[in-house]
Parts: sequence; structure tokens; C-alpha cells
Amino acid sequence: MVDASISAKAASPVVKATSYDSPARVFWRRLTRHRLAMTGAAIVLLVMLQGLAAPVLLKADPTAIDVERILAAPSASHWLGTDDFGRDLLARIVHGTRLSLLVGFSVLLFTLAVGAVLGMLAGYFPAADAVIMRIMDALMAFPAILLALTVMAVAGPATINVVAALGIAYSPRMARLARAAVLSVRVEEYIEAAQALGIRPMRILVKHVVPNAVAPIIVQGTFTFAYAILGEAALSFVGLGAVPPTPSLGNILADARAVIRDAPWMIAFPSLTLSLTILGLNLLGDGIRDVLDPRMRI
Amino acid sequence: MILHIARRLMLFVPAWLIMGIIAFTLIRLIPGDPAAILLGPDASPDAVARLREQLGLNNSLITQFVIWVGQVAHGEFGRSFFLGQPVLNAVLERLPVTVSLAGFALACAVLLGVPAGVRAATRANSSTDVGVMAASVIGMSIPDFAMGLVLIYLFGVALHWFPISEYVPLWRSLGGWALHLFMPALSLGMVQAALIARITRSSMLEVLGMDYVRTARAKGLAESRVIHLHAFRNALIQVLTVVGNAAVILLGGAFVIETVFNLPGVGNLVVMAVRRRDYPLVQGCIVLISTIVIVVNLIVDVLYAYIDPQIRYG
Repeated sequence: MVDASISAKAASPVVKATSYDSPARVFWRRLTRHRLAMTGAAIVLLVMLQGLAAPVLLKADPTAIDVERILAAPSASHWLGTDDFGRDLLARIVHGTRLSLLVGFSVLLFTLAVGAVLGMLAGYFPAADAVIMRIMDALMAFPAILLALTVMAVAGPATINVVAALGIAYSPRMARLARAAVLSVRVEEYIEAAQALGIRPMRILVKHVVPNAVAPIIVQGTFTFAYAILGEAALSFVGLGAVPPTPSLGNILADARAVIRDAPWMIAFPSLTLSLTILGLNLLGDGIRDVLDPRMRI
Repeated sequence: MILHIARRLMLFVPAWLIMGIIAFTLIRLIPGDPAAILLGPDASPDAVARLREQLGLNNSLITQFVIWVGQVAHGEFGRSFFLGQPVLNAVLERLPVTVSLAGFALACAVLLGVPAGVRAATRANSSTDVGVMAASVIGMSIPDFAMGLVLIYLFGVALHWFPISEYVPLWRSLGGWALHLFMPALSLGMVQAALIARITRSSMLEVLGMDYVRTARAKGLAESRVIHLHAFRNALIQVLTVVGNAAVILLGGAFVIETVFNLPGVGNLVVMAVRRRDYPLVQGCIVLISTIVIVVNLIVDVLYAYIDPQIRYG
């Protein structure tokens, strides 16, 4: 999707079908040959490793204040410099990234458990469709980030509330997508066959419809992960997300804004981390989309 | 056409109603007594009780909701706790800033995205194409507020090309207004520009492969005529969808950029209202912003029908 020619070459090599390959294996082989997707995966993996290894590798406390070293430029003792409280910026960014990933995962799970499930029910059961999608469409008419802000207004700033807010904000999109996927699978002959055999609707949905409708949901999931990281950073940036002194890429940038004249490194490094993470997820998502379903390519 | 508009309008009623209910109930769920918060920790219980009465907080939730809907229908959104000013005035006062910002950003997004996408499509697989698409995926990955901060540092602090001082309204100085909005609009519009470039490219590619484009070329039309008159017009539908979405996202996303650049817009107001638990202000903002968003959605729908007769008569 990034570049149709590159991705087409990478995504649709003639697969030699000497023996039967499971769809998952075909998918995996195609994905690993997709250069841009692999670049994205490498970036995402790097960010995750950094987030997981942070407390082990890094001795510096992200909240330790050092009045002697306020706004110190990058040096041997503080690789990325210090912030306006003399806290080590590297430690803050690494811990902030951990938070981003944690929020990203949690929001993804939330949108899958709420959005995807509701969307699939709506897609398969016409009776549920009207009610569920009317509500989802109403929520969709509103920009997601403002919806999240509204929820934050009620819940108050806290990381768990950020997850709920972003989960609610991004679930309608996931629901709409899941519904569309189920609707297109529902009319297939094998579903009709299953119905003719008298299999219970819920079992058909879970066993036959869902596995065939999962592709667009995986793709949307990658992007939801990216949106959630962006959303958390944005909410924390305006002071409605992670509560200081807990570091978040968003509130580091908010601190940086106040000292923009004196500490450009406080802007450069968190911005770079955030952008790289999102870039990795975007590349990976595009790649998965290319591989899973060439028709979905925009 | 009028029938079409009426039908679309009906579809938006539930959206508006649900946003209204959310705006109302969510705010009532906030822990803490607004009257006590408003008066501060030193207030006597008597004073708190008096203020609760005055603000109507003692009525049942349903009574409060009915009163509220009636007031909203009359354009009466109550008074902001902290600004001591009617909510409607507070929002209307700041609306021009947000609309300027979103409009300017949308202009940036369209003027950058559409030509880049068309160019990439007409030179598919060239280095231009690869460059545009690489720029697009990178542009989509840089969060608007990070971009804003980097721009402030580079062009405001280091190079002094653009002012980072207080916002200048359009009616005071056109030049000052444009100068002050340039960086915010660019950072806000960048992600959407990247998205628009991608969609424009792919829908142009699709259209350029159509038979009628080949016919147009075969009858000897100049390539620029083929691209602009025959191909682009038909690719426009998909592009318009993205532009319409962009308009809504830009209006909604403006609050972060307004915070970055300290612009006195509605977004800044919402953030302040939420942080201070200013119930009437939060509610009023949500209802007014969703109304604006719904109107924008409606305009996009109507434009759609205007461009594509299949939708109008479908």
C-alpha cells in the first residue's frame, strides 16, 4: 500500500504449492518476504525490547530529581541530557515508552473485546445490528480523540482511565470494520451449508464466520495500537493522561514545551521515539494488509 | 436533492441525541461535588449547600436532564463556573480561532496532498512516486504536537522566521493572522496531507486504468486534459471522503495543537474546562462541537451527492 509496486512484488510471489500449506504458514512466509513490513516489524520489536529491558538495563530512576543537573545537555553521564527537574531523560523516555506500549496493548485488547465482538454480533444477527450500529455510528460522528477527552473529563487523569477512554473512542471503528467483514463472509456458501446442517447460530459465528473475517481485524488492530499510543501521548500532553511524575512521552513533551528555548533535546528525543514507534506500526500494518488481503489495499 | 438532504439530516438526529445524553450523563458521573470544588477547601457547608441549590445540583438527574435539554434548545448552556460567563459566549468567542486553524490546516492538507498524490499516480513507480509515498508514510507517523514543537524550535526559536507570540485575530491583521497560524496549521494538517496523498494516488491509479481514460487518450486529447478532466474528476469522490473526514478530525484534533501553540481556541477551552471540572462548560463545548461536526458531516454528504449523481438518485 505504501508503494503498490514494491509491495505487490513482495507480497504476491508465486507460491509453489508442492504440498498443502496452512493459511497461517502462507501468511507468515509472505509477510517475512515483505521488506517494508519487516522493516516495520524490526522497529516495533526494537521499541518493545527497549520497553521490556528498561528496568534491567537502566539503573537511572526516571523520577529522581537532581537539582545540580537541571537541563543538562546530553553527555556521557546522561546520554540524552536531563529535564527541568534534573531527571535523566533517557530513563524517562524508556519508561515513557513502556507506558505507551502498555496503553497500546490494553486499548487493543479493549477494542477487540468490545468493538470487534459487538461488530461481529451486529454483522451476524440482524436484530442486534440496528441497535449496536446506531450507537456506534453516533459515536463515530464524533472525533475519537474528543470522545476520549470527554471520558477523561469524567474519569480524571490516571493511566487506567486513559485505556478506558481510548478504548471507548476506538471501539466504534473496530466494530464497523468487524461488522463489514462478517457481513461479507455471511453470504458465502459454506455458511449457508452450515446453516442448512442446523448448526446453532452462535457456533457458526464462532467456528465458521470469525476465522474467515479476522483479516481486516488484524490490520485494524495494528493501526489501533498506533492510534492508542498517539492518543495516550496527546492526552498526557494536555495534562489529562498519565499523572506526573510518572513519565509518558506526552508529558515529557509538555514539560519540554515550557523550556523550549533552553532544552531542544527534550523535544527531539521523545518526538523521535514516538514517531519511530508509530512509523514501525504503520509499516507493519500496511504490510499485513498487503499480505492478508490484496483487495484491501488503498 | 432537498429530499436527500432531509434524509441525511434525519440520520444525524440520533447521533446528536446520543452525544447530548453522553455529554449530560458523563459529566454528572464525575466524582466530587462541583459546588465544593468551586468554593475551595475553606468554604462552609452552608455556602456549599447554597451554591448547590443555585446551580440546580440538588434536583434528580432526570429533572436536571429535562431542564438542560430545554435550555440547550433555547441556546442557553448555563454559565461557566470559572469564567463567570455564559457558556455559549465563551465558546463563540473562541470559535473563530479553532475554525481558522482547522480551515487553514485543511487547506494545507489538500494543497499538499492532492497534487502530490496526482503526480505520484501519473508517474507511478518513478522516483517521484516512491518519494511521495515515503514522505507520506513518514508524515503519517509524526504526531501533530511533536511536529508543532519541532517547528516552534526550528522556525520560531532558532531561525526567528515565524512569531511564537500571542495569537492575532484575522480582523486585526491579515498578515499577522496568517503568520501566527502558519506553523500550527502546517503541523495539524501534515498527517491529513499524507493521508490525502495516499488516497488520491490510489484512486487516481484505479481511474487511470479505466477504459474511458484509454478512449480519451486514443482520441488524441492532451495528457493534461486527460488527467485533469477525465481522470481526476472521477477520482474526486474518494478524495472527497478523506477530505471530509479530515475536516472533522482537524476540528477535533485542534485542541492539542491549540495547547502547543497557546492559541485561544475552543480546544484550549475544552481542556481547561475538563481540568477544572467546569461542568456546564464541558457540556456546552461537547454539544456545540458535536453540532458543528455533524453540520460538517452533512455538508460533506451534500457535496457528495452533488458530485456523484448515483448517490443522489440511489
